[in-house]
Amino acid sequence: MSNITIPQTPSGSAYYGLLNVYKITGATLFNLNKYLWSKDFFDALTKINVNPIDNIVSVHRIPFTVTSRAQNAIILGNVVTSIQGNVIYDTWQSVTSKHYNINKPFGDYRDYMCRIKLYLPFVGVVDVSPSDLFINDENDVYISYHVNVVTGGFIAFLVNNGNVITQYSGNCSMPLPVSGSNFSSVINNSVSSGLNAVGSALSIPFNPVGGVISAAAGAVGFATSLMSNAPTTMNMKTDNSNSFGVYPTPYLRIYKPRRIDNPQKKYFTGLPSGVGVTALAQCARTGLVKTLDFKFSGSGCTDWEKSEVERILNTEGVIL
Amino acid sequence: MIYTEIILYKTDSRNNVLYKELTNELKLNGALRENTVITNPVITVEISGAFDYNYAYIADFGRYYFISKVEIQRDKLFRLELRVDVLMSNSTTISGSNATVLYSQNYSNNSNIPDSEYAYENKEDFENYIFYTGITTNDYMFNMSNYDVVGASDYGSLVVVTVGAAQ
Repeated sequence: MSNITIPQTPSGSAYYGLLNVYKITGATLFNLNKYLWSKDFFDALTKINVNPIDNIVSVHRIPFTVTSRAQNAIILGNVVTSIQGNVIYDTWQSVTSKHYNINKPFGDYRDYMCRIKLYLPFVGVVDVSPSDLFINDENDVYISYHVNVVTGGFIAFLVNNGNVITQYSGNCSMPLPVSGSNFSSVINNSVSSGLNAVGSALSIPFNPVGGVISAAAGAVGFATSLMSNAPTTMNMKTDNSNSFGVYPTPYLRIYKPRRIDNPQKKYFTGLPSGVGVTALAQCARTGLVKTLDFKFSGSGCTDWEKSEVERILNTEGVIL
Repeated sequence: MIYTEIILYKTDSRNNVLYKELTNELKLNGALRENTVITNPVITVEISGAFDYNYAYIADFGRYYFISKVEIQRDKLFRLELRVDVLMSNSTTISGSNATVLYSQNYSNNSNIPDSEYAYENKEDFENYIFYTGITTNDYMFNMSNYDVVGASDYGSLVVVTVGAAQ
C-alpha cells in the first residue's frame, strides 16, 4: 500500500518580481502610515505614482511566526522608502502541531462506534472517520497548516502514521483595514489647477518680488482648488475579519459510547465470532455457539423438528 | 395400547447442551397412549419412583425426550408427558453440519464485530487532544505594540504586501 505523504511546501516566492512582501513591526506600520499621509503631498506625488495607498496591496496578520529574511527598505511603487521591513521570501510556509500517540480507546468494535470531531482554526469543526484515525492500535497523529502568507490561504492536513487522512482549505489572514481615497481625481484636478496657477504666475511681467508673490498666490489657488475638488468618497480596501479571537488551537475530540457491560455475557449469549466452520464439531468444548442462518437437513425429522433445531442454533445457541 | 421400550435417565445438563450427560439409566416397558404424537408422546410406566428421572429415550422412535410432566395414576403407575429433545436426537447430524458461527463463548471470538446484544447508555464519554501549532489569535494582537517583537510567536506576524520595484 502506498503512503499518501504530506507534500513539501514550495520554496521561494510565487510573486517574485510582482509583489514585495515584508514582515513588519507595529512601529513600522505607524511610520509607513505617516509616510503615506505625509503633508509633503507634492513630494509623495512625485515620488509615488498616482495613488499612494494603492501601492499597498494588503496589511494583514498571519497568525504564526512567519519566517523572513534580513531587513530591507520597503519599496512603494518606484520609491525606496526609508522604512525597514523584513523581506519574506518564501510564500508558502508551514506550521506543524505536536504529535500525539492516539490509541484505540477500546480495542474492539466500539472504536468504530466513536464519533470524532476535529476543530481546525479558520475551518471550523469537521467530522473524522474512526476508520481513518484508528488505523493501528497506536497512531501517530499531527496537524500541519501550509499557508500562503501573502493571501492567507491555507491547506490544513490531518496526518496519521505519515499518511494524509484528509485535508481542509481556508484562509487565516486577518486583514487590518487600509483606508484609501480616490486620489486619481484629486490629482487630475490638482494638476489642472496647478497648471493654471503656473500659467497665472507666468503671465505676470517679470518682477522678482511680484513674481514670488504671484507664484505664492498661484500656490494658494492650487491648494484652494485642491480642497474644492477633494474627493467625497473614501473606501476601505480591506476589512477587519471575524477571524480575530477565534480559538487558535486545533483539537480532536473523541466521543466514546458507554456500553452496559455484563461479565457473564459470554456464558449466556456468547461473543461475536463470524467464522465459518465445515463441521460444528470444530467448536466442541468451546461453550455456547450461535449460528447465522443455520439450515438443518436431518433425515427422519419432522418439519417442526428441523425448524426447532434451526431456531435453537440461530437464536438461543447450543453448547457443543 | 402400544407397548414400547423406554429408557429413563437423569440429566443435569442444560436443555441447550447437544450431548447431555445422562445418569441413572433405567430400562423398562411402557404403554403409549393411543393417538400419541411422536414429538410429544404420553407414556404410562410402572416404576417404584418416577421422580428421579427427567429424561428419556425411546428406541422405536429414535429420539430423546425431556420428561415435561409426571402424573401419578396409582401406586407405582405413572403417566409421563414427554417432549422431544431435537438437539440430542440429532446430535451427530448437527455436529457434522457446516455453519457460520455468529456468536461463541470461546471459539474464534472477534472483538471487531459489533455486538448487537449489548445495551448502551444514552450518554458518551469524551477525551480531547490539543494540537498546539503555534497558531495564535489571542487578544494581544489588538495591541499593536506587540508586533514590535518581530517573530514573537504569541502575536503572529504582521505582513505588508506592496507593489513596486523588485527587491
